[in-house]
Amino acid sequence: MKKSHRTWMTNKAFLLIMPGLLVFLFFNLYPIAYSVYLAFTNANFYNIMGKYSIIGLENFQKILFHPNTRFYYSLERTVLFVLTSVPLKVAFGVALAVLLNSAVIRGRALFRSLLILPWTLPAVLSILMWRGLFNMDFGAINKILMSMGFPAINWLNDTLNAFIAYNIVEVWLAYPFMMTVVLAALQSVPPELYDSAQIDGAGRLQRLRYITLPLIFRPLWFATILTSNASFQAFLVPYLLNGGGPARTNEFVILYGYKEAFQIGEFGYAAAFMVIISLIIMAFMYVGMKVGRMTSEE
Amino acid sequence: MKSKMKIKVSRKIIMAIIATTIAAVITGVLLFPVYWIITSSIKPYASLYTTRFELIPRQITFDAYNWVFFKSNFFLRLRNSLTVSILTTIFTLILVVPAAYAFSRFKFFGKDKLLYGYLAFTQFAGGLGITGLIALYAILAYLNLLNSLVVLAIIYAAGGVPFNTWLLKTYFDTIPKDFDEAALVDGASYLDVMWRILLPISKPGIATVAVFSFMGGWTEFIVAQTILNPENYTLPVELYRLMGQYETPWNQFAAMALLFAVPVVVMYMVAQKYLQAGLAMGGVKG
Repeated sequence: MKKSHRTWMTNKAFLLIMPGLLVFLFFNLYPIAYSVYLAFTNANFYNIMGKYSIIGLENFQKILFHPNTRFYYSLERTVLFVLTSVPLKVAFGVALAVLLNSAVIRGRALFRSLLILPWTLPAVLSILMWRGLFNMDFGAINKILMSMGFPAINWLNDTLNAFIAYNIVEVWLAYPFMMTVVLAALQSVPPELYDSAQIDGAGRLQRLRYITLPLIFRPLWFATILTSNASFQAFLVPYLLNGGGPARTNEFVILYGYKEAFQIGEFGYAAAFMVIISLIIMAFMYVGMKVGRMTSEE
Repeated sequence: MKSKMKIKVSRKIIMAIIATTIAAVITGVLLFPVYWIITSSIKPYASLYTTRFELIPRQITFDAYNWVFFKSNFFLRLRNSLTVSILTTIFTLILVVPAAYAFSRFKFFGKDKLLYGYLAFTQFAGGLGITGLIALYAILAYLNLLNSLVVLAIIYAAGGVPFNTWLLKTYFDTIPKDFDEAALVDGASYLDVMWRILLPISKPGIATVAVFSFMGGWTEFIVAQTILNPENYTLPVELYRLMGQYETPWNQFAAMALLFAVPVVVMYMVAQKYLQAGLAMGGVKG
């Protein structure tokens, strides 16, 4: 009696879960598995309907060892972007959070809700808006520079300048997230801690070093891991600003994989490329989360 | 003694003025792009293409909005975007509400494994997006399902299943089980419990899921651009076309872009109360 009731409950539960699970499996997990399979084939835009064949490790060989491979260049560019944009995002987010957390500022709630605005705007709109601002001839940035007597800068049609523009936009898009995380962490520090430290004779710097930093370290670490991941996977920023150009010189890895598939039409090669990139991302996330948990358990 | 206090007070005021000014200047600089796109949409065409920097518009015109409403294909894009977003919301609720109910109230084999599988997916999902998209395109081409707004909405709903199921499940968990057990004893069916008891109390949780899925469909760009043909493009893809492929005048782009953003901003403001309650109760519990 009891047992049959339990089986009935289990069946009922599966019935309720199945629709979501099946749709998820079909549209998310199955394509990923299928992409792994495509990575070992010569699938391209013309034979994708079924006439492609398995070619073993050829795609991986081409990506990793072919003399003309763009893999290392693209990876290098992407890592460089992580190394420049992440410190900027963290520094900016922390600085703004500290500023907003200081008691002397009037209207803190207003500043906070205004500064969060870039977060609420759709990314496509924000990035295209910046594309207009960076326009060589009529963009606001060059207009301001010229009104101050500087020459106009060719922002988006120059490899280095475009890379700088990506950083500016990435920081603008991500600082509200960093700021919010750090601000929440700062506000969770009990004020009594500061008071008693002050009574014990701790100076401003000591209080920062021994109270504030240890208490905000954990949330800041996880936010940094997440935002590093976002930088590594930057796609919309380069794609919408100038297509990763000029002349494919700023194609970060995800953008490169996307273009190989949907503009060049090399599905097999692109799938192999994305499999390698996905493995790198998963390894990075796994290590980052592990380290975060280890340090916070101490 | 008295004068010393006075000095201290006035020093405090000066500090407040300085700090507040710094905050105001930083905020102004950071929000300048938004100010610029808003004013650009009401500037006359000619003033946009001079090299002179004009912080406050000298002349105001609604030409650009006139173009959006009467000469562009805005309403076609709007219809496509609304179709996708509304369908995404409906599909999401159909897929997620029963599942969240089962995860919250029933014990069954493999429940924890499935839940943690969902959680792991939400953590790694981003990187796998384009990887999966390559094969998804091939699969849809094979099944002759490309260029369909309905399919696009199902893809969005499917991608949101793990996150939304977690969100709503943890929300249901906060509702005491005594409620539904009492109803079950009184002879109500499980469907009654879900429909008449859980759903009405869970409005904030449901609203959160609905708003998130609507926004997801409204703002998504990559998948829409990849699987749709130009006649079915949604608003974000159209905005990219205006800016990237055609040299559309900046004021016209600005006007359409702002109209595209209005529902997002309004929804955030209207739903903020619900969203915060929903997220606070259901959000990050694990």
